Amino acid sequence: MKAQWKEGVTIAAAILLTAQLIIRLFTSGPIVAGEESYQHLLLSQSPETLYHGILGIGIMLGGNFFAHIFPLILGVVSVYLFSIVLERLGLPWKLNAIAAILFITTPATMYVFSTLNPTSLSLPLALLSFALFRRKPLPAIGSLISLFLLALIGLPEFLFTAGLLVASLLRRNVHRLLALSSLSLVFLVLFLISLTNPIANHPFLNGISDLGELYGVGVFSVIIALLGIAYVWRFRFNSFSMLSFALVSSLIWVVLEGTTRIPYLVLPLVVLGALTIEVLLQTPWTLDVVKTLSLLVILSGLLFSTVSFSKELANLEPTIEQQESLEFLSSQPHGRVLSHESNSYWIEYFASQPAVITRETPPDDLEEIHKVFQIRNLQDANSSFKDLRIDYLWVDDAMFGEVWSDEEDGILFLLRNNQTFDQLHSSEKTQTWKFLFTE
Amino acid sequence: MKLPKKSATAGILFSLVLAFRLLIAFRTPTLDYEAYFHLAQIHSILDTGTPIFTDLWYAPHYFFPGFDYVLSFFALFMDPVIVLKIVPNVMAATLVLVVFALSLRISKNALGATFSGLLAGFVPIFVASANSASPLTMAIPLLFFLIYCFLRINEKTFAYTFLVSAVVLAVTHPIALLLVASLSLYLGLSKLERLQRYPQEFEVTFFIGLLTTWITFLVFKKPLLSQGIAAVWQNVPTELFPSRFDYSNILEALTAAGLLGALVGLWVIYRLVLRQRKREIYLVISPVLTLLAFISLGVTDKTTALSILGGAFAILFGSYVAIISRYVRKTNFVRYRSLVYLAILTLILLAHVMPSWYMAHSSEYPSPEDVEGMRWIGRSLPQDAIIVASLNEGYMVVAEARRQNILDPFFLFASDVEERFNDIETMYTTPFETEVIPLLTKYDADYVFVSQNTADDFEIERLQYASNKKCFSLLYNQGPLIYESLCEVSS
Repeated sequence: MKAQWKEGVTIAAAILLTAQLIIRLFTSGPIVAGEESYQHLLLSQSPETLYHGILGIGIMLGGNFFAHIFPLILGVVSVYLFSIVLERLGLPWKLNAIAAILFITTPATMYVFSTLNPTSLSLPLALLSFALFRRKPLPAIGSLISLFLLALIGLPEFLFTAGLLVASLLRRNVHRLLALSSLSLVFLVLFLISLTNPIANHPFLNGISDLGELYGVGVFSVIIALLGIAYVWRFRFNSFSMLSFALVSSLIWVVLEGTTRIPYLVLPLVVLGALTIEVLLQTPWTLDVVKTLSLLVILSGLLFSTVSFSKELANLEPTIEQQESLEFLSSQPHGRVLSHESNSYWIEYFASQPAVITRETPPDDLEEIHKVFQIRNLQDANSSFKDLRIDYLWVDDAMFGEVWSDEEDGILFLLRNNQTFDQLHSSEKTQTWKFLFTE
Repeated sequence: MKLPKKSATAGILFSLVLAFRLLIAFRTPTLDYEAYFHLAQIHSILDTGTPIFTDLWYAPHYFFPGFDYVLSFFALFMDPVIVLKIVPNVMAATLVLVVFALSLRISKNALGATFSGLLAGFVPIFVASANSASPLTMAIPLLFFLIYCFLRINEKTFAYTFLVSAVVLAVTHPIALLLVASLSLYLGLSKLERLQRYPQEFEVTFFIGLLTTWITFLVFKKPLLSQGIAAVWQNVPTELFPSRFDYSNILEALTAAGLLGALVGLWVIYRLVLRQRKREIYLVISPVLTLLAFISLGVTDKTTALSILGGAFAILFGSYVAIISRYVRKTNFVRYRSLVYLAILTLILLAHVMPSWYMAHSSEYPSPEDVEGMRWIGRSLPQDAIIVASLNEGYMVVAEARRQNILDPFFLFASDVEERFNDIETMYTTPFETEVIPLLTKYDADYVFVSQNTADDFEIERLQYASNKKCFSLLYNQGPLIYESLCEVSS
């Protein structure tokens, strides 16, 4: 087992990701999951980055099959590369194996390797540049090529990885100094954020997958990572300087750029979590039964987050019903579609019609256009639809709650007026309305 | 022969406190409004084996069901209303025994322990729950029992008892989180102060910390998902119910926790922390300090916080009596020490027993006619009827009428409490049926329940708009009035 642990965890990762894909196919059908996936599918139609270029070519050659299999393959490769990196850190193989398994079962990485997003490519490339980063010329060139490719995906990814590679060349005391000063910086930033933001919007609270974040980590992953930090702290990070540097820099990155950077934070977090489990297994306890129970609770907690997120991932929208409704809209004359901004990528991808509001719409404009949803006066609706050049209204089930509280709320109340609105299509959970311009 | 004497003292105190609580509980034939939530849960557990988390409530109600399962067990042998009057009070009275034992262990003074037990039995805000079947009646004695077990954690029996009790607390009440925070603080303080420590202390704290976090996430996952961290604040609209988290009136808060115990307790903390490095004292002080942090964050409601503080101060009071009796023995006053103790007893009577009696009598409860009215609904109206009742009576609608309510004091998962609250007020006070019928249609409600308490609260005699016989019909008038709405806004 000791000799083949890397292969073992890679096979386990392949099984897990394939199982996730099969569950998704059975639950929601052969439709690519998530809102973000469609943003990248749209971008891949006129690619500007390496990721979108590969995605565009892949979709052209392999269609929907490629869209499903591409993140899965990148996930399996990432686990293998992560295992090599861990081995190079010189940590015990058992700890590395636990860390690799935690890596692939963390919700953030499950999401990354089940949907279409650039992180699914940048993460393995970052790991590859680490795995090849050594004094021999050939691997070093490979490492530099990976870094170069990373730069083609995004500058922050490149800077983060390059920064870590440079840090790994520094002496340990320098690491420690960097880690501690950066840690102070993180707390300063957190403090400043907490002064201005309500606690519910805190970036770290939003990073908990159990609270609904897609790029999140389970609450137990955080707990065992914190315990890992407490353990490492006892040695003043001496044996774990690289780990602490990775942790601090990825934390800063998450604070600065938001939860989409959490997959990078997962790398040091899972090592710290694995460290906690390993220490727990190795340390003799006075009450053995408490030790067993504690391990059981940790495993159950981790499993709970993974299973619950897996279920969420399997049910991630869009559904076949939404796809069919939007494909119907694509057969209609060209026109602007009003819907919730979270539906904009699906509208543009499936219906090939422009959405009135998208994720990129400035907040002030968004707030203004959202008022249209609440109009209950026919004349006001008429003039707003004309001003905003709205041709269609596409409503799905999620909008009852996000936008309206019941079926009579806001503009829904006006839809019965068949001189102003014409229902083009309806299904159990979607409605497509055409706005009839009147003088 | 000493042990039986102490046990007898503890037994007498227990009986005294239990009798006091039962006297309050049985002064009315009905329960306090709050208790009807648990009555509904008992009915459901006896019928289906599970509590009601979603059906019949206006919004999902997620909570720790341990307390209701215990009550349901007793309800197998007794009438549920009697169970709700007796069992929580027996559990609450065990606080006296736990505090007696803790105080005795800390102060090594039987008289001090006796006074501690007495004080713990008469924490006014805790006694006020005598007829409301609050889960705190089980959780607070359990919390202090866990502290006692923790004190003796190096003994295997207590270590395992701690584990079992901690699991029970974790499925009973969120104060298990307070226990974890307190024990963690204690471990930190004991390390700083280099107190005697046992490895088991860390081990059990570690385990219970993990377990409590996990159970809390399991139970509150949905509210946390929908409301984020705000779920910790229980989604209580503070502008409507400012008193639930308001500690600004210090004197009122100290009186509710027990004025004498609170003042002396604070003095003992000051004196003992500065002068003595006793493990036991730090263990009792840790929950107090943690609670103060929780209060400042607004996480703990007033009843929970002050009940626990009252218990902790009662334990510390024992040390005060020990100090006083040692001091008195050194003076010429020794001959009159009985007078000193009598004075303390008088102070307890004035500062604890009397406020307890007063607070218990200020709680609100329905009249037997109201309960009968609700039962009439259960017998006579359609199963899917939705009933408009006041906020307080929301639990009764589910427990006695077994019909759906439109609001009750459980706000955790509701998104529109303020709107519902105002709509209910309108439905009782407006003279215009044009205002009421859309509201009744909005909630899909057909029946309005008007009790005497509701009429007094809203300063009405009857529903003014109900004089229109075309739209409203009076179905029941044996005490409370029950109206049926015959009209609705057509869509």
